[in-house]
Formats: sequence, C-alpha cells, structure tokens
Amino acid sequence: MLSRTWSWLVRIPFWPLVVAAGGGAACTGYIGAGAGSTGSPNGDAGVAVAPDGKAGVGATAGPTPLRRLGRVELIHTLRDLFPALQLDFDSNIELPADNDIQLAFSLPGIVSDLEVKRFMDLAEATLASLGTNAPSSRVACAGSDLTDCARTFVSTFGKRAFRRPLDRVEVDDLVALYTKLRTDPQMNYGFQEALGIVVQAMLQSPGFLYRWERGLAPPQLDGALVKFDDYEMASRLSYFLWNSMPDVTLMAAADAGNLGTPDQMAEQAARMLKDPRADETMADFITQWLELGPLSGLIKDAAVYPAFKPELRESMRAETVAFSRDVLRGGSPTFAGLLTAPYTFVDARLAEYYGVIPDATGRVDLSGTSRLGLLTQGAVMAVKGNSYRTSPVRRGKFILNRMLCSVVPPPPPNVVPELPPPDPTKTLREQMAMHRSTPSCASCHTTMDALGFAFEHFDGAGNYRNDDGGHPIDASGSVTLDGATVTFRDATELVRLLASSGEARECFTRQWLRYAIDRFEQPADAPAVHYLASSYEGSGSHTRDLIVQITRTLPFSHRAPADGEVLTP
Amino acid sequence: MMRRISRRSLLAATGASGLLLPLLTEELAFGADPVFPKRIIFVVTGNGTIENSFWPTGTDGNLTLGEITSPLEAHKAKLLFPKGIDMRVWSEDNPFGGNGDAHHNFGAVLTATKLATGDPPHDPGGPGLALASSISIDQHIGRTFNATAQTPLPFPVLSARAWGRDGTGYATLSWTGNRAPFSAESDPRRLFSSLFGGVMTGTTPDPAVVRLLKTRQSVLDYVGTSLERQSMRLGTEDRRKIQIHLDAVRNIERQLQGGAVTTGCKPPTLAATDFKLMANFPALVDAEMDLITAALACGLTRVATYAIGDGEDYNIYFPWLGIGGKGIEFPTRHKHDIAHRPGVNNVDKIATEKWFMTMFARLLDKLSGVPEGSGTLLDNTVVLWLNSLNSGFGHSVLKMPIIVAAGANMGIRTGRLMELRNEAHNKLLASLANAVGVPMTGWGDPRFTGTLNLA
Repeated sequence: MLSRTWSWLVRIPFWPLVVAAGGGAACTGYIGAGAGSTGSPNGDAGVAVAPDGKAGVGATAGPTPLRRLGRVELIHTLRDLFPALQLDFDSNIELPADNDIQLAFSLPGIVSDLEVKRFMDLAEATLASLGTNAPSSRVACAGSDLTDCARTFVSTFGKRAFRRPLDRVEVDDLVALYTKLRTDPQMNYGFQEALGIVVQAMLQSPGFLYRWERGLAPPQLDGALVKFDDYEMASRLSYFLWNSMPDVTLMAAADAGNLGTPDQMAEQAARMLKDPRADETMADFITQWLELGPLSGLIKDAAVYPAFKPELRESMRAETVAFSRDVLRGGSPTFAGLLTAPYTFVDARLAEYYGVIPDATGRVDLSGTSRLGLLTQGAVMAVKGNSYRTSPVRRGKFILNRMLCSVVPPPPPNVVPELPPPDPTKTLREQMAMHRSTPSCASCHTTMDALGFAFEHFDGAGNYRNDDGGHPIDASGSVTLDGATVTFRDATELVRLLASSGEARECFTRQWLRYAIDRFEQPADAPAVHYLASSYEGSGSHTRDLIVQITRTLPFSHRAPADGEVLTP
Repeated sequence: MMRRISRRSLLAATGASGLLLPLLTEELAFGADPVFPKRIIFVVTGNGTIENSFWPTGTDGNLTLGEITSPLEAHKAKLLFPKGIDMRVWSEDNPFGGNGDAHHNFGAVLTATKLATGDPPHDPGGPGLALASSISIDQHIGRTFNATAQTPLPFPVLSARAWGRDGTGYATLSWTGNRAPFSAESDPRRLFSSLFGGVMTGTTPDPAVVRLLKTRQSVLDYVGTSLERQSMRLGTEDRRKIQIHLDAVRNIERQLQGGAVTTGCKPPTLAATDFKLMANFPALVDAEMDLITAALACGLTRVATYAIGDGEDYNIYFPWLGIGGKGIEFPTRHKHDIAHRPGVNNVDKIATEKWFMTMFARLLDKLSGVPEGSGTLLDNTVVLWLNSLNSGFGHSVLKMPIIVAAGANMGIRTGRLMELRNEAHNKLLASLANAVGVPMTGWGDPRFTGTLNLA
C-alpha cells in the first residue's frame, strides 16, 4: 500500500516550488518535504522518531521560528490562568488579529506600537475584571518581610504564567518592579495592589506572550539539533492539543523530567486527547483546514438566495463541528469517515434550509442522498461559493490545496479574475469554457474547474439544486489520483475517490503536522512526514492515533538551530 | 525652556483601559518672527479612480478641475497634480510572480521598494502577507525629525486607518524596516486617548494621572528589560522580531514621558457617534482628520500617515450617497465592487471618488483653520493624497491618481498640472521629503533614484 502512496510523491520536485502557469506546463506545484530527500521511498532512512529521546548524529528536523500566542491561545491561556476571569473578549477587548495565511493555519503577527498598547489594555482589563479574585489579591503574608512574600509570589505565579520556572534574575527583575511600585512616592502602592501590577507586567512580558519556555537557559544540543526541554515539551503538547497552557499534570511531568521520550509524550497526548479541551482543538483544525474563517461574515445576495439568513452561518459551522466531532471521537476516526460518512447533524434552522428531518438528537441519515461527509456540507459549499452563484474555480482550488496539498499559482498578469455577467442562456460550465480553451488558462483551470464542477449540484449558498437555472447539470469529470486518471459522475463519486486515495490521506497527515508544529514541513522533516503517512496507513487511518504519533516525531521534539542563535552555554 | 500646561483632565471622562497619558509640555510662545516646523501627511486610498473625471485641464494658475476633483475648487491654488507617475517598483518587478493584484501594494507605496519575499517556514507558497521589505518614508522622516529635534516628539509618526482589515500586511502603509509593520490605529477613541488622554487640570498634575503614568512606565520598563534579556540567545530572524517589539515598548515609554506642544493646542471634541456603523463612515473619517490635524497643531507629531480602507475595500460601501443594492460581483455595492464594475457611465464610481475628494477638501479646511503666526498650519504642511491604483478595474499602477497639497512655505509651486511621463513614484516621495527638510537624492529602490523639481 505504501509503495503506491510514494510512487506519485517521488515524481514531485523538492520544496519550495510553485510552478508558473502557462506554456503548457503542469499547473500545480507542491510544497512540503521532498520525498527524494531521504533516498528511500519507504521512509526508513533518516530518523523520524528517537525512541530514547536522543536523535543523535545525522538526524534532521526543520527550524522552529519564535512564535507568539495567537488570539485563541491568549484567550484560552488567560482563562486557564485565571479561572474566575469574566472578560468578554468578543466585544470589550480588542486583541491583535491573527494573520490568515493562504495554504496555512493562521499565525499571530509582529508586535508594533499598537499591539503593545493592546497588550497593556488586556493586562489592565484582566486585573480590573478579576478584582479580589486576582491571585495577587489572595496573597496572605505570614512573615514580617513583605518583600520575601512578594518574591515567593512572583516565583510561584510566574511559573504558571511563563509555563516554566523563572530564572533568578527574572525573579529579581519582578521584585525590583514590586519594590519600585511600593516605595516610589508618586506611586506608593499597597502590598496586594503592587502585586496586581506585577501580574499585569508579567502578562505583557515575553515570558507570557511568546512560546519561549526555555527562558534564559541555553539550548540542549542533541547532535546537530536542539532538543526541546521538558517545559517546552509541556507547552508544545498543550498548545497543540488544547490551544492553551499546560495543566497541573503536565507541569508535574515536566518538573519530574518525564517528557523527554516519545513514549512519555504519547502517554500525555493520549491523556490530553480525552479531555474536552481537545474537542475545541479538533474543531479548530477542521474549520481552519476547511478554510471556514470567512463563514462568520458571509453574505449572500438575498435576491438569489433568499433563504440564506445570517443565523444560518452559525448553524452551518455547528453542523461541521458536530459532524467532525462525532467522526473523530467515534470508533472509526478516519479520513474516509470525515469525507464520506453518510450522516450529519443539523439544528432546526438548518433542517428547514436543507429540507431534511433530523431525529431527536439532530442526526440526519444521508444514505442514498447527494450529500456525504464534510465536503458537501453547507459551510464548505457556501464559503466556496460566490454571493450569487457557485464558484467552481474556488471549490476546485480548495480541493487541490487542502485535500491534495498542491499549490495553484496565481493567474497570469492582466487577467480579469471575475467572469463576465451571467448569461442565462447557458450553464456556468458552458460560460466557463474559455478557461479550458485558452492555453494560458487551461494549464490550471482544466484540473481546477473539473474538480469544482463536481460540486455544481450545490448552489452558492450551500443548498442542493437539481439544475442550473433550468439547465441540466453536468458534474462529471476526471482527476489524477495516486498516478492514475479516474473519472467521476458527481461530487459523491469524487469525494469517494478522494477518500480512498493514498495521496489525499497523506496530505491529511501533513495538514495535521503543519497545525501541530505551526509551520510547513521542510525537507529536513521528510523522515517524520513519511513516518506519519506510513503510521496512518498502518493504523487504518485512525486520526486520534495520528495526533498522538505526531507528538512522538522529531519535528515535534527537536528543531534545527536558528541562524545566528547562540548555542554555547 | 518648558513648563507644564494645564488642561482638562480626561482621565475620569474616558476611564478607558486603553488610555495612554502623554503629559504635554508647552514650549514658550514663538517669538516675533517664528519659523514653524514643517509637517507632512500621507493619505492613501485604494481601488483607483476614473481618469477622465480626475485630472484637471487648463493652464498654470487657471485649472479647471474634473468632475471627481471638483470639491477641491476652493483649494485648487494650493494643489499640484503630478500626472504620469508610475509605481514602477510594482509594475516592473512584480513580487506576485506575474499576478496583477496590486490591491495588495500598500506595503510598496511609502517604501517604494518591492515587497518582501515569503517566509519559508510559514509561507512557502507565495507573497503571503504582502510585507514590505524596507522602511517607509514617513518613518524615515519622523525619525530624522526626532533625531534632530531639541525635544523628540512623542509620536515620530502618527499612523491611523479608517476601516480596512486587521492583521499585519495588506493594509499597512507604515514600516519601520524590512518586514517590520507599524500598525495603524483604527479606533478614533483609542487614537484620542493615545494623543490627548493625559492632559491635566490646574497648574499641578493630577496625582492620579501621574501615578497611572508612572506605573505604566515602570511596567513597560520591566517589559523592555525582559525582552532584552530573552533575546540574547535568539537567532537572527527571531531577534529581529523581538527588536521590533522592544522598539515599540520604548516608543510607548517615550510617549508616556510626553513632549512639547505649541500654544493654541486644543484637543478636538469627539462626538458620541457609533463609529462602527457604515452610515457613520463620513463622521469617522472626519473625526480621524480632526485628530490628525490636532496632533500636528499640538506638536505631538509632524508626520501623519492615514489609510482610508485597505486597498481591497471589501467592507466600505456608501449608504449616505444613496448607493446600495446588489453589487455586480457582491451582494452590496461596496467600494471594490464599484471599482471592478463601474457600471453605466461610471456614475457610482464618480460619486464615490468625488466623496473622497470632499473629505480631502475638508482636511485642507481643517489645516487652514489652525492659525500659525500670521498664516495657518496648512502653510507649513504638505499633503500627499494618493490612490494606490490607477483604476480598480484594470489594476494598473501606471499614471497613479495623485494630488499634492502644499502650503505657502513649502517651496512647492502649486495651482498646476505637472505633465510627466513614466516617472517613478520614488522620485515624488523623495521630493516631498526634501520639501519638509529631510534631504535625500532618491528614495527606495535605487533603480528609480532621483527627485522631481516641484518648485
């Protein structure tokens, strides 16, 4: 089975590559680890997992750029750090927005003046909102030396806020701030007030804002790589699986030095996956993978899609989340299940919109219908539809990007990216024939449009339709998967072909790896990429197992040193 | 010589956690023969114009404005229309590998260099976030002013934005260096607090204000130290990011220390408008223009950069102009839709661009309404009003719609159309920097070095 998976990969050139359009060249490029980089198609050359935690000489892993907490991570972390916190992050607090990056999962941006002010606002609002529930308000100082108590407080609270023990010099800095707040005649704060401001300061500090659990300590070298230490591993696990800070158990494991081997990591990952917080993360993965970000603000032309009311957007998101949760939490959490399981969950609004009758739990049996799995759900179809019609191009591009890990280059210069006004005498497919008859367009659009036209039975607002403005719909086409060209009659057939494609399954494992390590895989990660694809196949594509396996691999536990990094102690 | 000036305390009135508190200090009144500082404002909008209705005709000193530019009639003697300026860093060296999507060119407008290439671990697929590759000219001018000023201004550059989208890149005009965005404030209330939040009652500072100010300074001082400590081992690229964060922290600390203000400085009154409603967009732009004008008048800054929209403008539409209903590509006829599909006789496009010119005229009214010596603030100010596209339909960046407004003391001969041919916009930017006393022989990409003679 594996050799079939790799047979197509070997033909793929090295990263990074976006093949230019035109001139009859193949349209799509490919990003990610080149298969040739380990020299062997079965992935056993190179180290993917270091059983005793030591990668040793010759092991490779990509770099891991410094990363700040994103919006969701910040909110979750604050809620875990301060369980009594009652801040309305949707209306009263303005957090820096994350960047949506094409092809990738969202990432927080650079901190400039504006963001510094936003973080100051956030810290002040957090402490103001906590009031007497702030940890600083609960410090009882038994001894006579308040400064000693302050020192103890910043060490213990600091370890939670920074997700690692503080270096002595860091404690000294915080105590110095405390002392200044107490003794400066223009400030002259009381004990607990001063500690509250120290907490504000910690929330604006790099120890809190950045994923930097190594602190001031030198990196641990392991061969030519840097091995993440136990506190870094605790946070790598918690931010991957929970989008939040480590819990008490994880911190205790880090304290005890029990996060150094792949098996120890896997044990924690398996435990954490059972926690409801992992549900949110899986939903976050699914919605970002399916590019559902625009759903919350999606508007459709009321004249064309009168039934698409704004409330439906949340119903559609909920459908996708509930369905994927059911599959991923169920006994067969497979890629094929996500794509082809013949049921869904709808609320009353969406039931009316689709014209289906759910059972008491909201479940709808889709056997024998034109819908199946995630890709024909309202959310995906509506987000990848235009406001007044379908968009085969966007749908096809989405399938290529997200299901097959291919990159479609942008259109050549001076192309008007919109179609002429609709021609009611023709189907959209007929109107878009120019895409395939013009050579410079055809190199990409022949593939892209064919995949998109498969979904023509779903209108621009995500509902099923029998015809295209009275004209019969031709949803048939062909696609090259795993090296063979196969034909399909409609979306259900295309989706089933994708679900059974090794190429698509392998892409799915890459998407998870990217989500886990916050970056694209690099050539140096190739052994792990191969390992994950192979292990996914071996497990019968058990996605929860894949998530656990990711935490065992070198790109999760190790990184290449950064250019210019000071590695000496 | 400085002394504290006394003004109304806004601390209680706003109570916003976002309040920043620059304590303002009054410079001694200007002498009998004052030399006022030179100021510069960059205003950028997107989605192009309609050329035939934009450019004026006629001879020097006797211009006939186009339909779109007609709202500027009262100010036309102070306007220069440089016709034939191309954004050559974009048109000749497109970073998008041939894609003509110049909607994402804000990062190249004031830097006059091509955009940065992608960041491979995060963005191997292409241009990604449209990050700039070098410092923008507003930042360069602001830094030069501050480096030579007796008292550095609290805001080397005031960067504001009306609508557009959040996140880094795309909508960002102002850059402190390679891939170092300087985010713009889009909330007028926060902008107000940043600029004027700390003014005081009576002749002695309010102790509560001083305490809060000092607290924030102490906290930021700690944050800066932490950033310095933690950056020691980092690799080059990570250290670069932390340096930007650290610079920002030090900037805010300096703002909290306050700066000089001139006499006659008066914070504007901010209306209790819901600025998040599209129908109030005119009020939002008006308020932000008030704040920019006041910040310049008060000596809080000498350089302002103002983006109206984000170059794509999917979320700007025009209910107050009676333009509504179904767009051609989108459900609402927003600015992007109007530009892509101008419609019969371009009526909507002309109406909307004309509205922007009305707002330009209003900015000039505001600037000329602030007395400075025997003249006005406008006499000592140059405004570059630039549209980042020629037309939103063709996405061309050739013959960009640009207007320069310059006051009497700026050494720019106005009231005329300046016919040019394929001049790089780099040269215009360099000339404007020279006009405000920041000498240079060229700006941005060295292939397009040189200046234009605006005198």
